[in-house]
Amino acid sequence: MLRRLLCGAVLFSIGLSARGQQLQTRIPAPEAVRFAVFSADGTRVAAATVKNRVVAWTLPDAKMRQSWEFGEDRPRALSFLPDGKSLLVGLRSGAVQVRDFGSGEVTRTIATGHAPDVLAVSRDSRWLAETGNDAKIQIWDLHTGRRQSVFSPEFGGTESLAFSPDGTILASSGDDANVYVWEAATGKHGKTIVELSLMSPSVDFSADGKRLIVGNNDGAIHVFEMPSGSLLRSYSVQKFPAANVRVSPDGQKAAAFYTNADSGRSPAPVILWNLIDGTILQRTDSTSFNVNGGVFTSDGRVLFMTASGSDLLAWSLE
Amino acid sequence: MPRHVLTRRELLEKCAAYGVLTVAAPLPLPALARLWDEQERRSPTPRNELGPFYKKHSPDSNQMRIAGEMGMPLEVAGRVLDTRGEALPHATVEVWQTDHFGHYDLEGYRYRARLPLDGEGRYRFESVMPGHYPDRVCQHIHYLVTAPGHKPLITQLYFATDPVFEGDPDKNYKRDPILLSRELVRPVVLSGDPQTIHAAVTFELCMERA
Repeated sequence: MLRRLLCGAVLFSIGLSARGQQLQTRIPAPEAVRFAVFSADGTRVAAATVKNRVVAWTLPDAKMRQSWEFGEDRPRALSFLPDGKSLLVGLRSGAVQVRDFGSGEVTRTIATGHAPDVLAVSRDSRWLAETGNDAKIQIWDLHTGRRQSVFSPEFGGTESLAFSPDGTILASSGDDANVYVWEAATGKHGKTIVELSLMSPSVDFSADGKRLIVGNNDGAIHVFEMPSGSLLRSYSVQKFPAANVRVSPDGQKAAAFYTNADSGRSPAPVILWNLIDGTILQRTDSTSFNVNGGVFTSDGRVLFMTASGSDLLAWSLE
Repeated sequence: MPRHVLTRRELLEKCAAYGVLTVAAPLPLPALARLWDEQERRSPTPRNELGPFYKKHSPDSNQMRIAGEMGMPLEVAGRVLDTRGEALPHATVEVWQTDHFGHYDLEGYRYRARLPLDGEGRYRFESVMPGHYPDRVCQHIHYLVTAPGHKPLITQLYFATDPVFEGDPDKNYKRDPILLSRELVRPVVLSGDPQTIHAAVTFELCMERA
């Protein structure tokens, strides 16, 4: 359900003069946006709209490059491949399309058998992990389109998926408040982290794969050692659930995008944490919860999006 | 779902318990088994999303209502059964909900409980009518039910008196996009005068075998 809140809340507007954050680009969308994603280098943006359209732009010129209409079929998830040259579109009808950003062509369609709503791609672009409304997690070979493995958490759905940097491990977190570690190639269960009481909306690996960074609904950022799954540290419990946590390319920092548990339409902060000592490096409190598509870019910037009417606003932390 | 095969002894015991034996004794055992299957099979309780605010380790209690807190007193009761109608007294039932104002408690365990069951699989708890969580349409109470040998049951209880339904849940239950089954909207019995009004709901939980 948190994903649904995240998707819906981008429809609400915020002020433009926000302390701690800088407006990078105003992106004119054809209609209200449900959710949006950045490419890893922050030069491309794609958004799913309320009219079941996916629109893609380049940045910083905010030029529309593609617009794909899906009729009655609703896009439920988007993800760029790591090089930004292709976009994955998860569709309610039970498929993931791989679309070339330049030509707009569909280069591969994977029939997933369920409506996928979380997508994750390994850094070498070989593996796609996705999960959908039947709670199964599936890993697909993007080169062949074949399913590599399928597995499920104890119960409930999955909110977040992340590959280790070498693509051998997949971490998942979801409604049952556990964090799971799986062997990606086989789907073999490796470890269940049970220390947390509440659900973790977000997981991400450090650059060396030795740490798993978990954003939890308890408001804290938890750091686990891999592969043991031992809890190393937890950083300052905030008032808000940590809905999305992204680790910097050097593994030293984490950008945490919080949400307001009482209402997705109410303000919540973005905080840049020092993962080494737990200090707060930067913080902005003026965004409404409609923070969406947060990313730590490959050159070390923290970008996120909000919406104002039918405009998408791309921000960076100052 | 794997088919549960009754032993001859189980079958005879069940027939005796339900008074079937006297009228059905001339039937051969396979026919009796079929009769049993047809008569006793129940539909599992429809599933509904777990949601993002489940919290492990809820306290054992059947009293969630907090003295002095706002909200219409609510009593919910029911049984935990399998699809043959047999009680599951060893099931674990966890419930959680918002307070009267629509807030979930993430820091503690207000309006969260693991319910005791009696030997017949019956449960009962005292609470308040949940408020409207701002990003949901309907008032609801979350359930997570587990029992050995059965699939975990994740569901939600809704209330026919919810103003969202405008008095017609048959027509309007789909106003909440998460609510996919009319069966989860339960009738509410209101009693007392306006100063002491309280609500009572029955919600049966039927689990599928693993």
